[in-house]
Amino acid sequence: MMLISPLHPPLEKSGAVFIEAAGWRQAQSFGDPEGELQAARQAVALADLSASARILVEGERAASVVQEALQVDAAVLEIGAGLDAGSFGVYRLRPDQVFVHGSAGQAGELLAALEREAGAGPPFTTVTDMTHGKAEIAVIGPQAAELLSRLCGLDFSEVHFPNLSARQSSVAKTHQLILRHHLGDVTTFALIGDRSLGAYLWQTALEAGSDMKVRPIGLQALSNLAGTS
Amino acid sequence: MLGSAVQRLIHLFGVLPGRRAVVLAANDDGWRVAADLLAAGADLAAVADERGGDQAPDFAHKLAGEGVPVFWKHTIQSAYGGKRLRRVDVRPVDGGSAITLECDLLAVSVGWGPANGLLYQAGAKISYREDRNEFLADHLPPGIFAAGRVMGVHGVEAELADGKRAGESAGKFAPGSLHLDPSLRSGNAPHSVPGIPNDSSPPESLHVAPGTSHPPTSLSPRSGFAQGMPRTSNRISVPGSGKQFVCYCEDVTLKDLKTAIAEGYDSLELLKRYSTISMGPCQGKMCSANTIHLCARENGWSVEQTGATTARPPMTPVRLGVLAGQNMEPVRHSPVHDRHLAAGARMMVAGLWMRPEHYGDPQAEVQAVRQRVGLIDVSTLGKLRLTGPGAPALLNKMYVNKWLKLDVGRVRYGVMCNDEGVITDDGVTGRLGEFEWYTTTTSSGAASVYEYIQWWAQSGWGEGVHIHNVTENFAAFNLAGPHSREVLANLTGADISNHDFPYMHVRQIEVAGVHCMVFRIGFTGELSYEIHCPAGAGPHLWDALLAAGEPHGITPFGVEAQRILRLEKAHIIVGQDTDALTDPLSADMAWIVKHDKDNFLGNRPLKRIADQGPVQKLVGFTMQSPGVVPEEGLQIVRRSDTAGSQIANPGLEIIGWVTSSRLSPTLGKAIGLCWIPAAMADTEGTEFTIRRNGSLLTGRVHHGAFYDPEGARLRS
Repeated sequence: MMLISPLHPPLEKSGAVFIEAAGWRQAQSFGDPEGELQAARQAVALADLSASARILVEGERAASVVQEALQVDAAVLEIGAGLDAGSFGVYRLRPDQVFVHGSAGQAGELLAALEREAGAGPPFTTVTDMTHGKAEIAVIGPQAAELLSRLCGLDFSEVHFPNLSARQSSVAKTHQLILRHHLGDVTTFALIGDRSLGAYLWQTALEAGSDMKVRPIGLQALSNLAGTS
Repeated sequence: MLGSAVQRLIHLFGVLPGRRAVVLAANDDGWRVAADLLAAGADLAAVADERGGDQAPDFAHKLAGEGVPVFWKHTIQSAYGGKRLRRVDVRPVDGGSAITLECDLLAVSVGWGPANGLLYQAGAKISYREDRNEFLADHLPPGIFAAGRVMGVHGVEAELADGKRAGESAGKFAPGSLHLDPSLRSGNAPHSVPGIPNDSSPPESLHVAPGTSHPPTSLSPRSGFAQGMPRTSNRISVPGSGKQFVCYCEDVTLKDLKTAIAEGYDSLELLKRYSTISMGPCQGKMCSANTIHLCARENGWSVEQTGATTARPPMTPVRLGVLAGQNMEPVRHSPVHDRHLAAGARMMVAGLWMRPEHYGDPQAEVQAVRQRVGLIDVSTLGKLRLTGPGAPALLNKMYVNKWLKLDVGRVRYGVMCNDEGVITDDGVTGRLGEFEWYTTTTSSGAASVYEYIQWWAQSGWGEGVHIHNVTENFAAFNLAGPHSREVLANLTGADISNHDFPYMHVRQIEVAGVHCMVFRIGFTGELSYEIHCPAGAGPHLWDALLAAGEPHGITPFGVEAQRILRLEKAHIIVGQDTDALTDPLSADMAWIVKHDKDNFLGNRPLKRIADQGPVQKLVGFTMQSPGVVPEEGLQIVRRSDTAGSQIANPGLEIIGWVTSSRLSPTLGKAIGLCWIPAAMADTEGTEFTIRRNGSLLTGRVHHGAFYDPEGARLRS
């Protein structure tokens, strides 16, 4: 069985070459990995990250549960701030809500660790796997903020929305959790919203950035970007 | 016509707006208009200047010396004409007899209204300058820099110099500047805010003719402008007997304003809203300043005391093309949306969702479910996950039925009301574990029910419970029909026999290799399994179910077939069969309201309704003519002597309406649900009248489900 991203239909229309990775059918490229990489480095690109692991931890102990389970300094995070723990990221959304963002295929491992810690003691903590409920679109490149500004009223400047931080806002009339988490040295925002709206948002972002030559990119280009330092 | 408009037509478009012009001036700009008209070939009938000759510049006198009739200290009394201007009356500003001048153009230059809307919106403090008769900024907020006429600076070169200063200040203020001057962070930028030189004289010595795209005429001076001279007249109106329009967009006259103020709409904001002045296409650019003066004059206030109205975006009109720009109408797709398209489904809009209405033949889809097996995508259902020891107590308050003793693995149907006892939603809830509950809502109610429960949880009922909207996490498919167990059995190793997995139970089992929650419930009235799986696995499971069902003649079915199937069972759809006044007692669901539990939403009003008895009731009906299906929404009527005067229904009184109706392929006759008076509804077989296109049809009250009223099939 292969898991299917909510963006699969529009990716297919865009000519994606698919592979199976971490149990998901994912776009390896759109036929021109080098061109995709250049688009992300020099202009703006979109990538489907819906296969990423997404786990919400809620409760008075949420931050300490994440801290103990994943061995990160989650308890000191301010609201909206995040940290990069290498293979996953942690973002504090509310005093009692922490969002854990992992790579594709990592949900089970993270979930198990978090649930184990959540069950360790009162008051009760709820761990919810949101992986399947969300579409995730990465907006990557030096013009990412400009593209997003056409869809959202937030200030995307690094001063007001620094790397490793989270905001929640309306993007193209849909509610999105927005993470800023650069890929290597390339500006990157992740839009995380309802799965059912993913295809709509993907298409809308492509249209909004058409004059900027926005283009979809696949795992191959993403992997090269992530290796940039 | 404004003098600047005349100049724009001449210099930008090469259009001469009149052959014989009269120019009214109250500043030097009016004389430049006169000069431009002459240079463009127009005949000048006269220039009327509200000022005396001693206040006019040299070039004005030179122009007068060249034979142009000039009327010092004169203004325009009246203008005459039909489709175009024919003549104007010119009279002394201090009164006296008027002189009539033939003309086809009146160019007016009596003042400047700075376009300071953006400064207002930015929070600038703008005051009235009595010495200049203008509203000008005297304090700018930090980070705001302004230049040009909004700061009282006129003339191209002066404006350029002012703009350069403002730009340099803004550059120094910008983040990252290497030479940030802390003083610039104050709202009073050093160059001009004041912006106007301390002597309040505009830097007019560099003045050139307005417009930069044309060479100045020989009479356009570059020097010699009188320092400190106001450019804007404080003369607002000229007494007279005709209509005096203040707002040209909205046709508001001076008399209208006076009347409004006399009626008590004396503040500027009230006056604006009452008279609609300044609310037309120009958004006050032509009339605001005059209105403020007139309001001040009528109230006996100063202009400063009168103030100005609030400036709001947009500063300039927005083109329809901008509003109609990129389409941003969100649409929701189910995890198996592309499967529906591939199967040739006719899609329908359901809220933001796209759902398959049918796959070609909804009647056949109904029969497939009744006789074999069908599969419907119900991923659109709202899905809430409640965790914590407080969950059952919260559910007990939110729903009208009981939840405290529901065992793990059991499922119960629930009806939710608001605190007026009105039905807001319904759905099933399963207890998945000691502290884990899973609730489904109607597709349209997912967001609102979640917010509603959250609201009450955060208002004191949420002790020990967390609520998550997991609607999108799960794809959900209903496998329904007498062969559904066999189909499911092909895909799971779990025991799904009626004994081990009975009606109204939930199991967490593997189906086609996917961990699923399977609810044995029956909206369609058949043996059925509602299978919820991680959304990413939805396409795989959908394909697997259809493949496993192929030997049994499985058919995907859409919303239309589902509506027929549920109607055959007389199940309601919230929002279709209920409205904003419907309570469960009137909806013939008294059985679900448990008054013998602690307080719950709707408890008191439902007790009152129970005591008094419903006035109207929702009941099933069949038709005397079984093949006639009355459309949903038709009126149910009865003859009444007192209703004889009704135009729409002469002699008829409306007593109810049809909410649902279909031709049942299973029963071969029309069936439906309707609201009628409770007294009629209580007796099976009672006949009533449905009015349809002027003719009267007979329906009969039907109690209970039309199909399998004992529920044997769904329990099989």
